[in-house]
Amino acid sequence: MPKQKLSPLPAAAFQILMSLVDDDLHGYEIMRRVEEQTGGRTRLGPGTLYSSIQALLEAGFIAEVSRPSAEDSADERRRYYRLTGAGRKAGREEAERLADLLRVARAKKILRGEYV
Amino acid sequence: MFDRVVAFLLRLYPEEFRRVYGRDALQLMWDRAGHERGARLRVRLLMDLTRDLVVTLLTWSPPAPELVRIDGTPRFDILTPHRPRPEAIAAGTLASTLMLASFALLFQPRVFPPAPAQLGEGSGGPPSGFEASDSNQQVVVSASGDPSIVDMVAATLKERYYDFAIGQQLADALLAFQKDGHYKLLRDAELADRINDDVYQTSRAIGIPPGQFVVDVVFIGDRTAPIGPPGDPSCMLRTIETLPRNIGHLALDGFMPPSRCQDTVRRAMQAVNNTNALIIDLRANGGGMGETALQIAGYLFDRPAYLFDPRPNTPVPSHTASPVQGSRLADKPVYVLTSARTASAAEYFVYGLKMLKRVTIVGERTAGKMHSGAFHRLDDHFGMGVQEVPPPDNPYPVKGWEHIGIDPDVAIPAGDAFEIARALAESGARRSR
Repeated sequence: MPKQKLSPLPAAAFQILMSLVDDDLHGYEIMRRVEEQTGGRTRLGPGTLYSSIQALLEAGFIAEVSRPSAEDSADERRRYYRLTGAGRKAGREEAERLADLLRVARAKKILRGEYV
Repeated sequence: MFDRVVAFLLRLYPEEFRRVYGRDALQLMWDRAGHERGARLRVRLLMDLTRDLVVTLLTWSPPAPELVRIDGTPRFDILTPHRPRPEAIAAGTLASTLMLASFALLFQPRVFPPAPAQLGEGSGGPPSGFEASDSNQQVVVSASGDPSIVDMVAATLKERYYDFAIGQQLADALLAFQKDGHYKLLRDAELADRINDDVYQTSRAIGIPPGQFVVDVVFIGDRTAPIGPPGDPSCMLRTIETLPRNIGHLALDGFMPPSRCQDTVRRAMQAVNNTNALIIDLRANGGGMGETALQIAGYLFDRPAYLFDPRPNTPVPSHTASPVQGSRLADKPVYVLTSARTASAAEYFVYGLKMLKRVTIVGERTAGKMHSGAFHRLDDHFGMGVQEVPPPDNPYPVKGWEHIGIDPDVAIPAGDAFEIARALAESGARRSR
């Protein structure tokens, strides 16, 4: 699989990290969580989703884990992913970087209203 | 059609991506398709997928090949150090798509199997079997056993069943049965029945509720048979009469299309409207159109009543159009006669009314054929319905009638059902007066 540059984190990779902060999720759940947290603006397709997942796995930011519970046999063959400590740190650093950008934009008064 | 377009687009992703994540990508699309129904959402899904495909093709950079030199073995290397330009990939993709589409259009009748038809009342068979949406289509078949039919069923399960993991388990179980010689001496309908039995037992073992549709393998026959309802001017209403003691009696051998038979059915219901009790004979009714079954059920209620339809995206309304103006049958006792031949839309009618405790069912357990999946021809002799999308929610504890049939309230041989129902109707009519 191709190596994807992760510094700075691409938007899709950042959103995937954020989606995994609370739960271990499989691909479709990640897609839905990203859609929710972006207000429906981002629906990751399979290529974008799994390319990003592969890059995050290779960087050690997420890890593949076994199925969280045996309750749902339909999920037996799905791959679940978990945020690692390195992934949490990378997500935090990216959020701080974005916050810095936001501070600059606010200082330049190009934002109107109560953004973020 | 939607499934094919999705499968086609997924096949255009880079080979290495498909090798590692092809199954996950397919699962992702099935999950989305299961939750995003309706034309608008499906179009959005296809647009998302197309956009993602283009982005992936343009940004994908395959890893450098690992070249291993083996002495004495000829080797061909790529000399250019540059990967193909994105414009070249896009142009190639477009040209390939156009060529493939042209090829499919030109050679479709011979090269590709017919598109799957949704089974069931809406498009499902004439009283004695299945029916495709093209009523003029002819099926030429001849009897023979096909030892590879189990492989084809297993392959279809793996490829088409809406839950990939379960489809895989069911397919593996069938192949294991085959390896043990389970199907060695079986042919034709016996083979289909045994496969259906094994799928049912396996599906129960992995937690699928009894009665829920999974798969239905069908032996189509050994004759040239027209597919589609016969042009029956009586709309398969075999009997419309009023028996002594003012008992209404309707015998329906099929539920014919409302476009042709709505008025005939309405006149039949008017003919028995003033009776004290009603017998509806479905013993020879193998199915047909759910809309017509719902139309008849509408006369039996004084308010809209819910009838569960197992087909996803069904065109049949979920509730009856009750009360029907002028109907006096809403509070009259109704007896429905059933047999092991009562199937498909007739079972939809019986199941719905049984769950609502509106009728007394007299006769035998029904056939247990929901016909709610998408139908695929396996060869000239066999076909199968398979649940390609998640089944709709069913509020009742018994989740359907596939394979298990519907048990009567009064269990007696079908041949005796009419006389018993008539005696019950006479006593029931006396009580209701």
